[in-house]
Amino acid sequence: MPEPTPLDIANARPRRLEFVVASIAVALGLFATTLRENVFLAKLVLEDRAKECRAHQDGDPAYVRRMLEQERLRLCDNLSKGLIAFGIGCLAVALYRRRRALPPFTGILVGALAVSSVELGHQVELVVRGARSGLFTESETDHRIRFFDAAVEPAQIIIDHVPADARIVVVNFDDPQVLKKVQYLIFPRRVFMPPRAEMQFDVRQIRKILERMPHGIDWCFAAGYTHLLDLTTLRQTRDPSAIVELESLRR
Amino acid sequence: MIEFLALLLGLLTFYAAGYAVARSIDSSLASSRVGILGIALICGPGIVAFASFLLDVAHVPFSPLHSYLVSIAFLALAVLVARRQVGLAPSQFSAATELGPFLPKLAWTALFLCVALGALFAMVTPAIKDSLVNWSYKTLVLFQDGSVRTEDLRAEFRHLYHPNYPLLVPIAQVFLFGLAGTAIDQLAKVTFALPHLGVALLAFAEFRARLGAGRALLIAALLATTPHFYRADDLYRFAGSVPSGYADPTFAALSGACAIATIAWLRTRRRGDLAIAALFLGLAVFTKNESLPFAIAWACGIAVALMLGLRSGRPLPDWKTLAAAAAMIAAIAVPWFAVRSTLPERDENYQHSLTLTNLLEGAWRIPLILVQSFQMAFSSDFYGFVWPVLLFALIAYVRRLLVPEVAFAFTTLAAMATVYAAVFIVTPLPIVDSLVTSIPRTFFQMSPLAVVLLGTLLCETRAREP
Repeated sequence: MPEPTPLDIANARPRRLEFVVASIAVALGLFATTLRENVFLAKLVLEDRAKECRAHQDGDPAYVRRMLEQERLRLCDNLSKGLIAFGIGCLAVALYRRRRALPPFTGILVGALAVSSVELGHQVELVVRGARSGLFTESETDHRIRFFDAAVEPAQIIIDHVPADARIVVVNFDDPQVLKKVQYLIFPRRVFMPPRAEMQFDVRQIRKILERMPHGIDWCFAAGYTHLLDLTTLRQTRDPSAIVELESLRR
Repeated sequence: MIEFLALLLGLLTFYAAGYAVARSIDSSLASSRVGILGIALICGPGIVAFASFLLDVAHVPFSPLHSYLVSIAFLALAVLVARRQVGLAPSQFSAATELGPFLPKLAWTALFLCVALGALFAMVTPAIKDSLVNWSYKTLVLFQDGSVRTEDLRAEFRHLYHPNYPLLVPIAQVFLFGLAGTAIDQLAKVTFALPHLGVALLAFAEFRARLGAGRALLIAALLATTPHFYRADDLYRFAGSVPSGYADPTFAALSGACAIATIAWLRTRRRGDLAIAALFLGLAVFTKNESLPFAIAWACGIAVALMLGLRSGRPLPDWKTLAAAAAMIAAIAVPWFAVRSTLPERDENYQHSLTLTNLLEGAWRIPLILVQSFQMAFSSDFYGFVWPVLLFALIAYVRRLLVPEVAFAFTTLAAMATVYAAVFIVTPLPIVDSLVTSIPRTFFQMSPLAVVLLGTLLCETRAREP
């Protein structure tokens, strides 16, 4: 390591800046944590994700309010974790700078890096959890469900591009002309769609279709509810019966 | 197994293409191995996609033969370029820094771990619904129909959503599909992680000379560990990130890299640095429509920096340099716009909506936009602490805004933010829904620029400390 110059040493004097920033960050972080646990968490009830999405589909204006409440909770949570990590990072480098001729702002950069590392830890945890629950091996098999929202995507095109080895296609949209064309174009492939244009599959109906298929599905085209069919999402809907039901459909 | 081998060959081709271009342009960024690696990772997929696109325009449709021809051509080109290469500065990945032995190792680990996580999530998690419709599905159509002339992009009823979206990302994946001979849609998503790593390495290469290896590494790690780049949400609803399957990571990396190369040019005035910046910008135009406001912001940033440079006695660059850069951008943009003009324009058209009347009518939305932006800037699970630290640095070093490189980065970022805000003001969509779904992505696209601005703010010589 090169010898520090007099200018470096002058700059490396224990500055108050990083100490002050670190102290404020830790204090604010702890305050926000307490606030979250004692106030926000008690008040806010996290809605079940599936229920929330259904509300959205129905145009329920409460959806936006609930979403914003969750956003506020998430922000508070992150801010507290982030500020504590930031403070600790700054403080560590501010102390370290006493011994080494580190330029100013280094502590703040390290603090910022520490905040990102909080999320890094969360993501690593996600990988470990995913690996344990078979999430990753599952997506490598043929059981992947692929989603297209046929409400915004004319299904005829989608059907044209279904791979030759696709075993089942579920189509669910509300345009009668599209329905007609799909029925024509998809033959003799197995396709499932609502009997009438104005009727869309609900989750139960789609599950029933899936139950009849012994080989799982490759492609699923449906308007609405598609997110509820995601195996990963289903695991987190906190609806054990739904999870078991879909699990039992796998080959 | 064959699919993995095809993927490896594809990634090698991307690197070879980027390497050949980086070594062919005499720039300060390409004078070190880490700089070349950065440039190659960012622009490699784009160069391959553009070459494939040109071949298709010349009636050589996408197919395994097409992909192997492109692959062999770029691998051969890279070998030719490597054989006549001059000496490079030694790699300083592990060089001792002023931070001591422990902190740099930690920062490098965090940097590579984040990229690896992004690549892993990309390969094993499904793309989210919206990105499937706009990007993955289009990729599949191009692969199966073998051309951008597919009817699906043009016909009124048989259409794809956003048919005139740029095609760099779909064609880069079609190239990989061609090598594998099948639609390896899941594996091909690893492509999105390459520019993410590249832009971090390029930031390190540029700032190392001016900040020292230690702080340059912190800046690079800050960029790579920005959570929005690599993370996958529990519910995989995280729009814009590498795993979600959007083109945003590629665009964010290209625009960030363009800013880095421009800063290098403002510092060195080497023609090659501006040429590299122009290459990144041209590829950005071929990646996302947001590149057009970015191009305007970039030009404004350069104009401001040159004016400030003139004030401090630096001459204006010669017209040949600027003309060469413009030609580089046009070489990529013109063929794309020629094809784009044949595609229907529907689903969204913000250029025509940006009128004074619409802006005045939507002015009531400004407080909402500001509040939501403030919330987003403090979302550490999206952006770490990049934005608060940038704000802090701007306050602490406000006088440095008159330094040309800082002025360039600041003007570009501010102009981008202004355009995005204007789009939110005029959007016909409900503003709350629009903000909730789109603001994360706009911040995401600007986050490399924010880190670059932070780096330039810290670059001034310490003697001028406020």
